[in-house]
Amino acid sequence: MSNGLLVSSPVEAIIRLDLMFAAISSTASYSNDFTYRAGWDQDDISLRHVWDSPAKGSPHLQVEFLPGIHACLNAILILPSSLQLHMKGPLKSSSPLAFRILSGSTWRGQNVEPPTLTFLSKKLWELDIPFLVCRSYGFVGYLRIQFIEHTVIETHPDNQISDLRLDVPFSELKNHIDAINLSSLEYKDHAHVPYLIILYKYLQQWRQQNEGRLPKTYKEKESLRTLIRTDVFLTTLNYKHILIQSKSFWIMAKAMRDFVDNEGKGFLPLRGSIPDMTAETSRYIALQQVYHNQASKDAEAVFRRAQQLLHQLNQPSDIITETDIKLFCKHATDLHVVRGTSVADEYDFKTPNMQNIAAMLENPESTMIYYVMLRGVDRFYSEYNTYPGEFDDQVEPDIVKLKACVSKLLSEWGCGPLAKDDYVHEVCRCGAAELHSVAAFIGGCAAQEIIKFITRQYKPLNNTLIYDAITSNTATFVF
Amino acid sequence: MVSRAGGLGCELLKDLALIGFKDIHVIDMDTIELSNLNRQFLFRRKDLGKSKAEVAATFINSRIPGCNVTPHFSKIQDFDESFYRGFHLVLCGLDSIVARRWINGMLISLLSYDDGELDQSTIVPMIDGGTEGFKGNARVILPGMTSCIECTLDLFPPQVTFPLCTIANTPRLPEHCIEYVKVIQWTKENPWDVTIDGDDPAHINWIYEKSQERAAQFGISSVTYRLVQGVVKNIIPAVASTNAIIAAACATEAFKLATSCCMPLDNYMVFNDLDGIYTYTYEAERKEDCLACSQVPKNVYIKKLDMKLQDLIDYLCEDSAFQMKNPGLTVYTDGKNRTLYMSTVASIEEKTRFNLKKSLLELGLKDGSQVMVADSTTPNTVVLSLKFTPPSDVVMI
Repeated sequence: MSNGLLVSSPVEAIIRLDLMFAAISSTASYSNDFTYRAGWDQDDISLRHVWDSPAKGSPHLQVEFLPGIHACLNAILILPSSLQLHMKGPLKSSSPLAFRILSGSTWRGQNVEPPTLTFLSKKLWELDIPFLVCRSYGFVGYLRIQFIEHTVIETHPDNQISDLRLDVPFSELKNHIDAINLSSLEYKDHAHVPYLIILYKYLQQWRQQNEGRLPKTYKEKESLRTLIRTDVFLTTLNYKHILIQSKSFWIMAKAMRDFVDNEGKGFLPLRGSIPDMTAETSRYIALQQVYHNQASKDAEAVFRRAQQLLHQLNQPSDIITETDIKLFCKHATDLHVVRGTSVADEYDFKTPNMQNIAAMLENPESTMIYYVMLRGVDRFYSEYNTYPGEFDDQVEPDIVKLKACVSKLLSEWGCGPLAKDDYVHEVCRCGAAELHSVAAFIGGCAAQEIIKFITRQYKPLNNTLIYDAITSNTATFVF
Repeated sequence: MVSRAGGLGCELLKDLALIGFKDIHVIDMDTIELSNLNRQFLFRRKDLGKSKAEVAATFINSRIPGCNVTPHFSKIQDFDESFYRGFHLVLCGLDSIVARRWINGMLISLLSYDDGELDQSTIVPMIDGGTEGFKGNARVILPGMTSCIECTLDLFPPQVTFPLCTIANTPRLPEHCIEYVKVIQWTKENPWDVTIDGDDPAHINWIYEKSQERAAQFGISSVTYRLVQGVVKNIIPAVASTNAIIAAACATEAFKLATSCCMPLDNYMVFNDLDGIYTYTYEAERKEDCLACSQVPKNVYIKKLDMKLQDLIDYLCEDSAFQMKNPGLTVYTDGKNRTLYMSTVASIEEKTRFNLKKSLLELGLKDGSQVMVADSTTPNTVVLSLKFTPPSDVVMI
């Protein structure tokens, strides 16, 4: 295998970072989705620098970030050959986009050792800086993210349930719908009525017949459906960016809580959107406007409460803007908070939840086995200063040694012995080789997670990913 | 062989070259556009307008010593069986289902059988990757042995995304005009100095009006308020890291197949990193009566005896198992071939157009008649066997 292959993994992670920063810097705003704009100067990207640099085969890669990014980004890159910290700017957490990356890749004879990892883990935990560890070892990929707390407003759920309030209509909605008299409409006009209105009308009718209750059981819901189906017009009708700091997140959360307890009467602020439905444009827009207006009113109330809180906390009033609050309210049903754990604690065998590992290992096919193997490899390296199977004539004896290392680890964790040796053989067979495509897979995942952290959109990985490239499976574990 | 040097293709070429493949061919008929540059990292600004295949090959050859990439500035359809037979592996970084189906059909046509037994030395494995936003899939197809593109055709959702180059230069659909206003015009003019709020009727209305203006310029009709809202709220951008991940998974499979160092993916992996990182790997099953990889004629059950030829063509275009584009139909009766309808050749279309209004019976078709269908989605002819008396448990048309 060529030298270029061995150094590919730190490069891989860097490439992903560069592409991503290029995307950020070229997009005026990224509150919606990642879109790129064809306008930025392609040749400025440091990815080109990495790729075009003459450093063929050399693991010493100097990475330059775009000037615009440089100001808000501090990167740590551990280049495996030297284990030197290449820092741009001092370690501090005050900058809004401060985010440091450790590309810790196994490189023949130059692993990022547990002592280094633990040191960095502790340091970065104290500074509240997210910390990423990547490994590519034979057919196994590993990605670990350390962070104290991460809050997300825009989680972009795949299937979002509409927030319509037909059961507890706000007064404007009630007035809007009550003003529409279905029976006075022309036959053809029925096809233009948004189905929400029809659903609401029949729900009211059902409740009148059922002591004001909402249909709860399947049978009750079915009777409502039957009621709607009896409609004479049935055949014609179509029934059928902003980065918000964690602190302001919690102030907004408190403001929303106060809203729920007061103006909201137990409900979250209205989202203010309705699903697409067949309807005449003007009718649809009118109904949409009703929801939008109510959502604006709710958001205004939350905003007032947030301002009160800021005042009480002696904070400047501009750290939470009306736009922030609107975004927060719009995503009120899908807010996400995740709290992380530190790598240092994970490596201190007294603290982590080892029952979890034991339970997982009861299934001999569990991907957890590869986590155990990687930890076994670390143990092997600390004892023998080589990697198992690194030298062709040592593969057989290394199998026995690695098995012993893994057994020691498992007994320290209070787990039973391994059910079979196949994985030990596989790890020794690869001899610490780094497959470019496995590194590329992990590099891609790492870049994606970093995008999620920086933009505070989408739910990030919590907190460990193991990639088994033999079967092309992944598994996520929390340590 | 790598088909297409786009978002996935650039990643694939880099991965294959760095993993040690020395002799790689790449086919792409496109030229480099500005909007490609952010993720198709083998291209530079100076390369605009040049052949993607040629620039990608030059880049890899100069950057990775010992690797020899041969470019083909052509369509995949420009090559015949003898060309494709010359490869050990075919990797696809395609952006259309039609192209996937064509390659799939081509590789299946390379298979030969001795006494009904597949000659495994004629198999050219196909490794196919696809991405959409934060979602993607990678699969390994051993033609004639494991499920092929046609076996799982119903997995593909209707296509809804548009490349930026189309939006900027060659809009065809009302959606393209809307996307243009949303992506380019809003950023330039920014009427409220905020980002687009898909739920704000005023925003949608602004985009609606501007889209109508743009549509009028290009003579495109039917930009509606509803459509504007649908497009604005449902964009799926090309995400570079998803391409990287999927291409990496495909390259790993190429490495496994080439070296036999372990079993290939069996046979389908879906990937989604919207919420954490999630993959699901399973064995997609072969369809016993697959149009492409089983040679059995496909039964089509006819309910109405007065069914018109046009109805049959509509069915072939709309049914999830066929999804054809412009089927041409011929029938073999009384010892000769007769063309029922063909839309691709103007003179024949004119002569056969009147058949569309005739019923199948009037055209002399009966129970058990075999109709040969040619379509742009497959290099092979599909044989339909018409059944007028269906078993009780099948859906009829």
